[in-house]
Amino acid sequence: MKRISAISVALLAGIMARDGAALGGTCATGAYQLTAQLPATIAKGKATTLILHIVANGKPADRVTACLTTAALFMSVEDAMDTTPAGGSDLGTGPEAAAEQGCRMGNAGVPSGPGTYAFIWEPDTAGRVNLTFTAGASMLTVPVDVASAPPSPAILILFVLAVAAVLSTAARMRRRRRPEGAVS
Amino acid sequence: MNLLSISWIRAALRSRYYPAIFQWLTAAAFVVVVLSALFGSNNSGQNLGMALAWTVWWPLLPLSFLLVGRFWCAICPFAWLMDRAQNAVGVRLTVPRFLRRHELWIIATLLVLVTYVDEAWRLHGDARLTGYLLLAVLAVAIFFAAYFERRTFCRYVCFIGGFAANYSRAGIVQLRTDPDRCRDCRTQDCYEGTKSTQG
Repeated sequence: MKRISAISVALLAGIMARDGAALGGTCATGAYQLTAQLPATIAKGKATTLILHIVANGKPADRVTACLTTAALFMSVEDAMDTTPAGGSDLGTGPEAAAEQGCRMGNAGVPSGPGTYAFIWEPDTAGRVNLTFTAGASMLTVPVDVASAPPSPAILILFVLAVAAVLSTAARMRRRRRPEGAVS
Repeated sequence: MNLLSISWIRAALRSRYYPAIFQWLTAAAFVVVVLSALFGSNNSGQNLGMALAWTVWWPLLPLSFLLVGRFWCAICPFAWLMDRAQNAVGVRLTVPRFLRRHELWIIATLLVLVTYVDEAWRLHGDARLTGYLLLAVLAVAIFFAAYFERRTFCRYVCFIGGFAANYSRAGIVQLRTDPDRCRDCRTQDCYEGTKSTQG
């Protein structure tokens, strides 16, 4: 189940020269309307796909470099050029996509449809985190609650089975040893 | 100074509730820590169990060795749980020679291993991993209690015990024998135990 979490509109005014370089030569102009589509639950340690829709002048904006940065409450921004998770925000599972042109402080979305960009995000902290999407000078900040990952059922089952096996085997051994002790 | 010459301390240590009352408390705290680590918030700063384990217990532990010797070993929840398991199903095999011969190496290796795992996987910052570690140690402790005599786990495997044995040498409280009594003792009840008390 998905929900539209927030909509933000920002105006691009007078900064096209800088954006042109930052966007890698794209020609999107004017205001971008950013809409983030997030899963209902986001859990720590679980890779999650975040979708960003970008519209310019009422039409899906393609060939735009969309970026994602995360900021927990205690930090402002993560340097995504560093693949080591910093301050509790991991922007991806592999090498950060931030090395791509145009996303100096975040990772780039992968175009996955008209005006649609997908981000893979694997939170390594739980609690409230701010997600900031940018396209050009348009920005959308969405606070999300990252849930704690549940314990591994396999490990819990393994523990219960191991303890049960140890106790039952020991009990059986003790019952066998007792009659022997009585005879001797 | 002989603390046992102080009447209320002697009475407290001879009470039938010692060390049980402390063991119940630490066992209850242990249950809270495990449940909280496994099912609570994965953010260590928001997890009661993590705070109890890593912020309260872990730093206080070495301090306790210096102040009260190996008192922690007397009230350790693992020891309490192992006693219950041993009374219920214990086979009480003699301690394997391998453990007796290499106890120092085993304890030192486990201490280094756990410290490495803590640093490498940031155990103190991950509630789930802390919970898994506690479950793993508990399973090993139950194994030794179920099959081997007395507190084999505490004596030959527990890295906290080894840690305690080393640091508590510098402690201001020590348990000492009375040589005059030991010279004439034939039953060695303090080591062997009696019908009513474990050695």
